[in-house]
Amino acid sequence: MNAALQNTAGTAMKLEGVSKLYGSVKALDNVSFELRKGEFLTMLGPSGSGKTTSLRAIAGFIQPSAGRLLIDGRDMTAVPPQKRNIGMMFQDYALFPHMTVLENIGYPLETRGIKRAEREKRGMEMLEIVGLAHCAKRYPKEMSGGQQQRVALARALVFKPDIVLLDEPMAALDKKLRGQMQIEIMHITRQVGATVVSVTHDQEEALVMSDRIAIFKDGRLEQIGTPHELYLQPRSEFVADFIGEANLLRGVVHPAGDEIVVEGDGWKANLPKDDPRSVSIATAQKACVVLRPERIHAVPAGSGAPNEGVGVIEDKIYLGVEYRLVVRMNDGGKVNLRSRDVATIAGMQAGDRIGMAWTADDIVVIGA
Amino acid sequence: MTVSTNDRRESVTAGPLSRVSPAFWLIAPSVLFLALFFLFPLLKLVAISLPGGSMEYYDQIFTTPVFLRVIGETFRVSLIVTAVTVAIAYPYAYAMAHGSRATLLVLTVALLIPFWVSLLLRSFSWIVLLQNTGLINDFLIAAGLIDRPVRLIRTPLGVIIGMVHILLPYAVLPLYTVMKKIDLRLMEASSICGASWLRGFARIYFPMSLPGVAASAILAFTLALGFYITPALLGSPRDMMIAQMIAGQFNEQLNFGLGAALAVVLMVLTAMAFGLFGAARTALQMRGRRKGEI
Amino acid sequence: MNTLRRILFWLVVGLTAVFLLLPTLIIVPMSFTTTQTLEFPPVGFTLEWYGKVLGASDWQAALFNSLVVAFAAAILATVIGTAAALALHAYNFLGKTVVMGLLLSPMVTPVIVLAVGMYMVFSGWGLVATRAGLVFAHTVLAIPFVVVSVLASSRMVNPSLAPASLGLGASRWFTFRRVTLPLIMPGVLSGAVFAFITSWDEVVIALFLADAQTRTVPIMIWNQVRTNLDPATAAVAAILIVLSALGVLLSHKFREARS
Repeated sequence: MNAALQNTAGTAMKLEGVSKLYGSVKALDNVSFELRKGEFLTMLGPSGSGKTTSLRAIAGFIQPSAGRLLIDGRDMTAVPPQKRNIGMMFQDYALFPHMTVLENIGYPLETRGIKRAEREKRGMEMLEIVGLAHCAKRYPKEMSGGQQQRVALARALVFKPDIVLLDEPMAALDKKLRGQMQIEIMHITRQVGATVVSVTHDQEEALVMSDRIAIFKDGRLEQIGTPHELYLQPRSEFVADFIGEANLLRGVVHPAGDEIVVEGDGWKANLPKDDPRSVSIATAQKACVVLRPERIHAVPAGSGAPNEGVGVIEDKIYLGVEYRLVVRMNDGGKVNLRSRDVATIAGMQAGDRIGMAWTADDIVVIGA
Repeated sequence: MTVSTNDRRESVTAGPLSRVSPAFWLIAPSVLFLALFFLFPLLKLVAISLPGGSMEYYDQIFTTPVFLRVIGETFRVSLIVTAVTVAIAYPYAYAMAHGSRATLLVLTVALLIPFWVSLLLRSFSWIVLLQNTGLINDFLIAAGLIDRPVRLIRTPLGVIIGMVHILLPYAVLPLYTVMKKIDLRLMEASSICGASWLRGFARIYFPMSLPGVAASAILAFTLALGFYITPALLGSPRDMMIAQMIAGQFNEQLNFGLGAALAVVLMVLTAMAFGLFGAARTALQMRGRRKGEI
Repeated sequence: MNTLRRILFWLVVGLTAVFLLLPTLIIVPMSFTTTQTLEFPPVGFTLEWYGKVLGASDWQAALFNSLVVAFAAAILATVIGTAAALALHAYNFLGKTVVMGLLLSPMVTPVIVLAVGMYMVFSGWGLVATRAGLVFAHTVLAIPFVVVSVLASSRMVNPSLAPASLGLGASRWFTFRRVTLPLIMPGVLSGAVFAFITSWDEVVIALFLADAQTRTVPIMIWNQVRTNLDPATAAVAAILIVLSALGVLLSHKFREARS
């Protein structure tokens, strides 16, 4: 009991084994995670992965078929949306077209029985924060997409909700505005100390904005962690591929002395036996090696390094700060390589054989 | 005049007759026809109602209690019918606008089947249903709500039931058109802002549906004013509406001048109701504009 | 609370649907009753009432009048209305809004007003108690439906087709016959069906303009309903409903062909 209380300290919300069935289709499959107070968490995944269903379950628009949702330690699973004290910014903002900007922002306060003068005061404060104080009397349709988004954000934040939900916050904006608004939303939510759950299918957006990212696939939570953790220690090929650029090499596992070797046609990767990564694949027949393009060193072919692969250069692209090489492996698979080692690469041509080297620290191994 | 294929289009406008736009020749028959068989009869009524420029018939209408009572009754019945119709049409249109595809199909069919059956036949059917030995009375007795048949035909209630039935499709369609455009996510937004369903409906959905309510009410009211067959078949002569009064002046009293004046009054009332529609729309837009202060 | 609201809502909607359908649905079964009075639910099954109606000379005459008047009014309204709709669609001219208003206003004018007005004017022209008078009156009522229907279908036609045809050297008439008309045909046909049904069901004007020789089916029904309700009336009503249903199916087919 005491331990449970301690666990929830600093926890804004907790999903416990939440599932949602539509007929026989599992939109959500046993999803559990915790949201810490003040953090910005992004649920990332392709469409149909369950991220939006999770968001709607948190908001209370859909009832989970199984599992519990705790907000601030209280079971909110059966509580209707209007009693959850959650703010939400909708994908197309869902501003009330017949109300002015200030009325829109005042609406959550109105529903909480706050008097008009106070509503206006707090609404204006919020508008100052989002930089739209001069637009208070305008109607939503008289504003640009970016401005509407700020109004929607202000409406979601004005009543100091326990949690703020952002549904595909950048989907309705054009590309140019996106980068700017990503930074701005991040700043504003930090400034007011909000706890945020965002949903997106754009990995760059997730990386820019989030303290932590939850990656969804086929209704399941694939992995949750800081962007850094997900990049360095992906637990599945899907996560490795989804976050950042990754080369996936599939090979056979066999022990060799005090090392474990993953080997494919024309490449091999050695790991010390006591490495935790080795332990995870010790019993596996096959494994997948994740190689980030910038962690591969170009070396002359056949240098005989313990961690090495050979292939043929298919494309060589010079990008000023670095070279990009596309290397075809023996089995026909392609490996992308990024390097600033001008001295080595300048002399290589498409069609040349090339060696690629890395250290045990540069790779991630996933058992298959 | 030699015509080559290249300048054939020029040649079409070259003759004296062809100087006039083809639009004229396409429009002329309809305008002429309606002027002759539609506008002229209406103007003729105005002329008959003002013999030698005298307003006597209008004076008579607006000073005789019988006529005033009929006009008042017409307004009263039309208002009640409009209110009931719109009140029933509102949830029906809501279900059509926001229900599943199957719901929309079923409700549309239910709406359009009576729309295609003539008003005379439907009034006939209501007589059978509402008569003392009719289905409605049988049902009420079987349900134990009454023990003796209630008189429904030849009462204002019968007229109202029959008129609501006929006006319902007209009232549903404008409501449906407006409601279909209302995004239900606004209601989700309202609930996540802390509003109960009722508050969200009162503050968000209903105000947004008002243009549809106005359109549907004005349409129902305007049509209701001129009803003749339904009140004649389902109502009692005591609760006569203005259309029956007009017919009576021509058929029985043979007082054409007075009948014409009554017809003109009905025409003007109908036009005013339609004018109200425009005014209501503008007012709604103005209200939307002016709502600047919280 | 939420569930209760939902149940109540669907109850109201369901009852409204029943209310809408009930009067139409009871007519056809009632026409088969073996009783002398109109009963619902009907007692037994007989086609006697249909035989009685179809065998009676006055019903036959009324049926003939109705068909002649409705066909003539439908053709007249379709020709006049289609021409007007084409002009409204393709050209901009002075007073276009006024013309549009005129073409649609018969739809919102109280029929009783039209009926007495036409009665006064037509009696001076010798058109009262003639089929021609009825045809003209019903054409007035039907023109708005044709205009609306044809306008709707011409808006769906690619506007550059007619200029393209003219540009290829075709005459206006040829372009109309071979390009424009086939494309708007669904609208024209569905407008014609509307026009036919408008006349077929019309009773108020007919009450003023028709006499014993020219009376139509709706007038026969009106008289029946006012004097004695018997199952024969239900039989006629059933025939009318079936014909209307055929008309709806027909116009639906035309509109489907449009898309």
